[in-house]
Amino acid sequence: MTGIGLAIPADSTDDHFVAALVNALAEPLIADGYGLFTRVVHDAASERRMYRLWAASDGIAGVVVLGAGRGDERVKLLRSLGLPFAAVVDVSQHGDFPAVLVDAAASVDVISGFLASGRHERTVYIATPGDSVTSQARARAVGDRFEIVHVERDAAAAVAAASAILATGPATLLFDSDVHAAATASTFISRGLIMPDDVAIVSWTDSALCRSATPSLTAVDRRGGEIGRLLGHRMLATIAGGEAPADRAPDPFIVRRESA
Amino acid sequence: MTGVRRLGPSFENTRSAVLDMIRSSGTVSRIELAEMSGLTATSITRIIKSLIDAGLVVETGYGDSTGGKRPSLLELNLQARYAVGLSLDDARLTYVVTDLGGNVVGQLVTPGIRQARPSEVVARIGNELGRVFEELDIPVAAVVGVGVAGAGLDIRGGAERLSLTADEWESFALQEALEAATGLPTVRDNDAACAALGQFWVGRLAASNDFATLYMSNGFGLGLLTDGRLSRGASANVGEIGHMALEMDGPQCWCGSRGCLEMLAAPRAIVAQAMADESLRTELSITGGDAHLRPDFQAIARAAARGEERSLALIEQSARYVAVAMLAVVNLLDLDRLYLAGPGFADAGAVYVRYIRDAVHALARTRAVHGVSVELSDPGIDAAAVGAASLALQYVLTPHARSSRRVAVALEA
Repeated sequence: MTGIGLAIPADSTDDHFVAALVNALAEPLIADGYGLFTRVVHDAASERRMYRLWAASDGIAGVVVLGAGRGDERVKLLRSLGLPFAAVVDVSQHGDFPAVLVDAAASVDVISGFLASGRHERTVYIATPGDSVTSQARARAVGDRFEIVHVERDAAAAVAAASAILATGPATLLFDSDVHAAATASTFISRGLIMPDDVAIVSWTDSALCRSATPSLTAVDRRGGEIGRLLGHRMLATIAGGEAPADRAPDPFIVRRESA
Repeated sequence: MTGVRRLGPSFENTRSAVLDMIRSSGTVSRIELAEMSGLTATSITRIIKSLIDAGLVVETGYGDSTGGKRPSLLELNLQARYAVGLSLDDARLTYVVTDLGGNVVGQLVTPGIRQARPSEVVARIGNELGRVFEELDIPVAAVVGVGVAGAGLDIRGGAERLSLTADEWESFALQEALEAATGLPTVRDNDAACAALGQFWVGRLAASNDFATLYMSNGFGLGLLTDGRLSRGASANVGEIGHMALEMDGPQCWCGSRGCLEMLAAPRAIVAQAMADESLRTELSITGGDAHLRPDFQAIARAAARGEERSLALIEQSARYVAVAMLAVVNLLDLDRLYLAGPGFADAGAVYVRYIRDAVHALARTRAVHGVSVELSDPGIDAAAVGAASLALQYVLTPHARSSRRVAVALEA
């Protein structure tokens, strides 16, 4: 069994967008008889160490890279090691390597358009430290369209930040993390707030959690599963010796539910 | 000292119980451990020394002083040991490597069992396990064992029936064969039990230690945790919820009964109904037949999640049967927590959550006394593999909490 390697930053392991992407990535690979090796890495040095290990192994045919950018040190390293790779990158960061391109700016446009028709004037974006794929490009694209509050991964931090915002009046809260959105929604409901009249909640990550929460959470479907499958096919084409074209990821869309 | 007697007299059992307390606490002081366990400070000190010497526990700083010297805090030495969990599934084999705390450090996904013979699969697993350690840079000497999650009935001595189509598995001693192939201690259980154990082991400070995990792959299983331990039954086959009869005159089931949940609501039943609708069949490009069961079901579940009406109606029909079965479970066992896990819930799990929630909310006998939370397990798809690794950790490191399965089998034999 020949394998494909994937290093996942430790702070992305509980991200449902990344989980959906990785789960779907395995589909085309195993259909072609490949195995997908995933290693959780805690810093850039251990990620580089895995690439060196995989380059030296006869059993690894290539690696998939999350969130590479132009001038990315990892891209240089993989090239110098001669290890074939395919990456998922923001369209603004595309270089001359095989990739699936996501468009963070377009997804910000989609969400701005949706929120413009909403009932609250104030929108606050509650951002989480890096999802390792597009969060940086997304933070740039959000720019000055919304207020931004940065919180730690712990859901309690997001709930506290959201409560502080609500103390000054009704608002729309846009969360990077579905876990944060669900925890905040459940806290506000238990305090007797009405959604979306007192507060509207939108999650930038759609997941089963958003669909099964009560009330169900309006979310951005960023097409993680489809991106993962495209990436798997791009990886297979790359190790088969194809050129270095890129696929455009399908556009994100809003899944309108009860919370906004 | 009643705590000591309840745990059993051996130093090993006491030590394993203390290790389990450190694991579930995160960080903890010796004084707190003495209070929790009912052991004397001297005993705790001796046990902690042995755990530190073995590299399983480390000191990690100081807690708040309560008057005297500040107590040093203890926590698991997470990288000291690793365990492997393997989920045997038709569509894919998933190997998960966890550290001592049950945190995932690496994973390998390879093609599933499909129609392969058990002996072929075991040979492949032996090879792939070697690759897991090599490619994921896991020191083999620190691996405590392998937990295996596979569907099916335990027919004494490790034999299992994996699915309708794989009869050879029924008389195959998987555990023994894998131990011989890998040289690592191997323990197996059904995927529902593993998923439940994983939920308990990785989750911390839950409100209660009693809950059930409903697992759906090609069929259904129910893992039941009572007072923090897996419930077993007379032959370690608790949770055959797929054969709960819901329609007395329903379709004949392969188990001999009629109208079983599996015949009414499992992926095979849903795909069969979709196959009968020619336009839907064409639209979703489903082909039918056991070899395509998982992709066919995925196509329907994904269409349902998108809101495609005919697919959604099929999933909802299945969810209604599942909700009736889970209501019966809640009424029988007085549970206040249910989790849904497994690949069958990956795409349309939320539909099932809603139907089960509505049923227990409106109809559970105890609804006036307490609520019942119904959640998708996290990580849902890999829950069985992660739980199987927990099973191996528990089996080797905290044998006091080990289920009595082997003993029960030995007594019967």
